[in-house]
Amino acid sequence: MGSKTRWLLDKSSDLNPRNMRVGMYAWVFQRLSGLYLVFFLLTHITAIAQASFGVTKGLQVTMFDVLRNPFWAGGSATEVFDLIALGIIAYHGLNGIRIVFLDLGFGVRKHRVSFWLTMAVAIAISAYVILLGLPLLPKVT
Amino acid sequence: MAQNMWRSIALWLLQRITAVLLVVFLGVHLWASNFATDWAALLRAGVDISLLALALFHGLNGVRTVVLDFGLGYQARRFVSVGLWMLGFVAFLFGTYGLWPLLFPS
Repeated sequence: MGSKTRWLLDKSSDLNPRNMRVGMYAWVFQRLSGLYLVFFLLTHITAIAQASFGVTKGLQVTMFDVLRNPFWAGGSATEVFDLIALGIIAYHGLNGIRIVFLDLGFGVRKHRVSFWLTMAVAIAISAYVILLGLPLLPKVT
Repeated sequence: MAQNMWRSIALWLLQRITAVLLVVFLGVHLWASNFATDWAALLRAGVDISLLALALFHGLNGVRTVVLDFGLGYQARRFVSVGLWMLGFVAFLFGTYGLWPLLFPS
């Protein structure tokens, strides 16, 4: 194992899965989802600017077509990219509220229970939007 | 040194405050963007511009937190912080510029 990866993969590393428990997973997922959401925010800003100025071709549009219609969407005009972001926002936001409460000193002893509650609510919100909310949305093409 | 400490505390607190505001505003944003009626148009304009600023601050300050956890020197920390502020400022101007025709159609 190279010395540069030791901090990540060494047996004594906090980030080695064998040393990670629920709170550490919550922390790691919070950071990874946060970084993903910054990427999403920048693409969201660009996509909206593009839509409002009516840009319909060019490299950037091709890029967004790829992002919005990844291979698993079968090329249909589904908003998979936005939906993935929605699920990640639900997790990041709910876990963030949990962090605020923990910082204020509430529920420190129950932090494992509240993490699983957070996950359950995030999955429920995502499922609600995908199964029930999505058909209600007006068609935007 | 003390000045840096207070700045760090302020940024930490602002990260929490923007987090709570983002949760509230995102709910309004998702509703107003997809189910908006005419009376909600002005609400949407205010919420969307606020969200743009809040999300950029929260997101880029979060990136700064992640990057600084890798333990950079003073010069590198300044470079990252100033660079992210500049990126955020440009992204806010560009985002507002792109959002304007949607919020206030002529």
